[in-house]
Amino acid sequence: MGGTHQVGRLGAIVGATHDFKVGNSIQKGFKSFNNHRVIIDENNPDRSLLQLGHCQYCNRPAVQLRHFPEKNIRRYIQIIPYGSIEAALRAEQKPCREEVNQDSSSKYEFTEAQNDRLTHFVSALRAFSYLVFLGGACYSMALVTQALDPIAESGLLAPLVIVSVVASLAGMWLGIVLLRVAESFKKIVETEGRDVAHLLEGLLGFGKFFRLATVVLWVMCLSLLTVGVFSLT
Amino acid sequence: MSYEFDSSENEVFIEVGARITSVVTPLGLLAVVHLGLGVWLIDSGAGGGNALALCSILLGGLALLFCVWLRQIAARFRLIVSTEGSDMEHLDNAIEINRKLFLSASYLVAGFTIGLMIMVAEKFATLV
Repeated sequence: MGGTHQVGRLGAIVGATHDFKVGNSIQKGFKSFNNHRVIIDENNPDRSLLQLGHCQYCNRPAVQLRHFPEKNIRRYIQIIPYGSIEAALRAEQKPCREEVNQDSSSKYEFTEAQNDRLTHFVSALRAFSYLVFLGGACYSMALVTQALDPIAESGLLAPLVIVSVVASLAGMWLGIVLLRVAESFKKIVETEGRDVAHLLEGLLGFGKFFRLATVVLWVMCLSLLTVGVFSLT
Repeated sequence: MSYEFDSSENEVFIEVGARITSVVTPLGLLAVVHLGLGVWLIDSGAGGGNALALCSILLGGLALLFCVWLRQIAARFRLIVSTEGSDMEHLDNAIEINRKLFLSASYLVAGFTIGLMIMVAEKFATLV
């Protein structure tokens, strides 16, 4: 890691404070060189140092902070060798774009009007998620009672009942996913210093919700079309 | 204070925008099926009569409205990525449309859930 100055710089990155322990252990356990990148995973820290290139914008080592939720890597941080920082400061170089973005994204705070809008949005999200959960449960119960009814005229087709129950359970799961998304958006309003990170977290959850919703909607379409075809024949 | 999302943040908007767009197709199909069913019920006078037909048309109409809103949200996300200087404005618009969408969907699901509760209660009563 090249010295305590670099570990100290972790503190400048909002949200990386909890990585101090990892950073310190790397400092004690490994000998590092200039331009090395440290992969820090909150749950399973990768303690090897990987040699990577320079910043693509300014061609010098830079701090980078990125999220890779799908790879289960929370963030990786390239520590700027202390000598480079000093040299850069002496040469009065402009900070590279990655640094500027990271700095501004960690400092950007949503305005009061935006927070108000987000609060209303979170309320709508939460109401919808509770109702979807309840609706899914009721739909499952309705299907089960319909299937159990011995005097039902035509009775429902068993595969259709199974598919519909699965779809309604998926609907309940959608409710849970959306509640988590709402929590991320709520954090934007309630916390300070990581608004953009919480926004991205919420958006990624939103993406997951829409992916699942697509599957559920296709199942509903197919079920409806199946019922239509069977009732016509 | 304006803020410009960087390339990695823009990737998130692209990804979510694509997923939102993918919902539009099955939702649109569902809307068309419901609207068709409603018209067919009115024409043939079959089923539970006009009440069921109106429910079906209402559901289809709302689903179409949701499709329009979803497309608008995806368009706002695309604007965040493709334009510079007004990212937060586009984000605000997207959040506002999202709020309208989920609020309307809440009313729809609430109505659907109440209807189902009544149906389940009646079924239980006849089974017991």
